[in-house]
Amino acid sequence: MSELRTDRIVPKDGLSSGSYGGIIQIRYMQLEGSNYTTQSTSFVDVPNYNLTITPIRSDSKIMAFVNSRVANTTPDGNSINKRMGFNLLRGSTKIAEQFVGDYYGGTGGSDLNNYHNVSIHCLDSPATTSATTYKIQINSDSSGSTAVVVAGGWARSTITLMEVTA
Amino acid sequence: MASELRVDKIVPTTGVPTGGGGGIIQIMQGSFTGTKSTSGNEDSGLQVIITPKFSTSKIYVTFDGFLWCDMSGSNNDVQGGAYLTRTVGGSVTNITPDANVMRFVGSTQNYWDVGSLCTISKLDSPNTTSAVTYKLKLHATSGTSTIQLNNTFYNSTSSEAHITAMEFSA
Repeated sequence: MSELRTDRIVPKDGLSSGSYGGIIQIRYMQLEGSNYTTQSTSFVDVPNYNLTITPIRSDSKIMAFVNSRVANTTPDGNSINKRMGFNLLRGSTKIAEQFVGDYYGGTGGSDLNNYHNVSIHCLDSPATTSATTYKIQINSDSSGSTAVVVAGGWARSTITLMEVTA
Repeated sequence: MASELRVDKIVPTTGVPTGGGGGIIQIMQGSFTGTKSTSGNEDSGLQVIITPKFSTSKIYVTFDGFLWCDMSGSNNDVQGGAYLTRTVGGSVTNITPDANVMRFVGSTQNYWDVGSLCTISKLDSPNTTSAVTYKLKLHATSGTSTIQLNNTFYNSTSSEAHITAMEFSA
């Protein structure tokens, strides 16, 4: 069995501008436990929804894949907005953002709980070999609406980090 | 002549991170361009087969595709699920939860429909060097709902769903 121990993988002729080489490590997490809910209109951390990677090289890129199940719930009513923000941060720096939701234009709405899928693919440049944590923050965009990140039961929310050599 | 490096494993010089993996040594992908609709819980027809080089490897499995969920009667709750299974030698294991990925609740209206791009990912540890089949299953989780992979309503644009399996050294 052959094993290549290396910290960098690139084509023989080098990398063209804006392109990157091979992957040398992967890390993965899926959120477990109870669903997290908030009515905060400011962005807040989702507890335990984070993943740390220690880049081997400071010039590496980190490819982040986030797949999440989220929901918006509201009180019963008429003509209701159910929207939420969803951000990916490196430390305290926002590096990607998403926005999901819908609008109920009818009357007599009840039990308005709608699920959505959030997906982020982001190529980041942390420029460090120190442990680097990527985390998720959410907010409720609509007064009275509750934003939910699903942790168990309905589905799973995940983060995957791959170190791509450059 | 292009250079070619043939190896069985790729790992950082300091070893693989705990719970993670090193480099990719093979990728397989399956696609599905038809449509599959069910009011039950069954295979979608989308699958990929990969034979790991090592039993220690991690397999990163991803699904991306368009799901459509609708109801067949007067109900105000549309629910549907999609999940991944691993089959090795006839033994089937759910590797992601058999649970809703879609739900749309309205009022006392009839015939609510909802569609969404869906992605699912899982870093799996099959612990085998036998052929592993990863499948997407569909589950209509409300009694009056159906869930469909891909959508060709009105003969407009069709879509293509994918399931990808990447073997990472570990």
